Amino acid sequence: MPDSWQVYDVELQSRLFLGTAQYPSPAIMQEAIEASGAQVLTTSLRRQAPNSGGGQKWWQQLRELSRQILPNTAGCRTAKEAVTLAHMARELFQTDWIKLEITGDDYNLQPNLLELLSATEQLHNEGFKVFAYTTEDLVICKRIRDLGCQVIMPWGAPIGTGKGLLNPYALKTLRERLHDVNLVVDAGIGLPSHVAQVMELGFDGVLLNTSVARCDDPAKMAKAMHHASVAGRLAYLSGAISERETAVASTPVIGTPFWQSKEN
Amino acid sequence: MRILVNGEQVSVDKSNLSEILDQLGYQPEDIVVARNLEFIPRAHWDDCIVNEQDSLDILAAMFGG
Repeated sequence: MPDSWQVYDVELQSRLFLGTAQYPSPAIMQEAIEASGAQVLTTSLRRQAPNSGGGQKWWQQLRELSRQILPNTAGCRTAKEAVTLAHMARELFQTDWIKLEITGDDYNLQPNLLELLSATEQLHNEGFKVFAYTTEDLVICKRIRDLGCQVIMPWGAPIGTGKGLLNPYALKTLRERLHDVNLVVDAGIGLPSHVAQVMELGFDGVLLNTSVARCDDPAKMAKAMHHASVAGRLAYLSGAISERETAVASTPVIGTPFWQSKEN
Repeated sequence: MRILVNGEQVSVDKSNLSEILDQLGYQPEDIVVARNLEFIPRAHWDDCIVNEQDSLDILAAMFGG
């Protein structure tokens, strides 16, 4: 059953976005990418020393995989920094997609939502296709949508924690209230069950990195994450039953063997 | 003159951005540059004048999440 989705001008089949950081080696990263089926890979930019060669071999390897690249603005603390870095990313990676991250707190890496709104507006007006990394705040997400952003990426939990969805109620509300944008949970995913939960809520996709890159067998975990995304999506499309407070027998009670009418 | 390159004080004897990058040993095709937090497109490097105490950020592709 084809279940493709449109992300700006690109049609995707996979609902997993995969980060490229923290793998033990480029070869293991490539195995994980292939096992995940991810069609979108995140990257970043960092200061480069002269004659270092930097990550050029790695970047060449990534290009050969022919995936859609989604550069991020990780490390930026102001809208001004993020807008400048987005322009640099567009030239380096040859894409107008940008995962807009602006850190507001060093302890939990919570995004600065005021700066995020400012940068989203500027970049959208300059033709960038913004993927806004935010918290699960409904009002902020609505404002991001109203600015023209088509992909909103609320966190599940702080980056790298692997805690899963800390506020499923708010995420469920986001999905119920925002029908006309792509919602992708980004950050905090630790297990395939978290991915399945995201997809069961009706989210369009999941972005993860640490849970795959730092586990003992990244390719195996990447495959598990892929299956979880498919399972969760199918569950969402199937129209799951509502929870009940009382038991209801699943086996028919008519004709129950050994049952006898008793007089009170 | 003294300028900041990726946060470090550096002495250069050129004032044109393209020439400075060449003097510092960068491979132009691998990097992107901002001067004083303003992006300088590669097409403008030849026309970009760097002044005393200007700050250059010279970035390359890197892993990311």
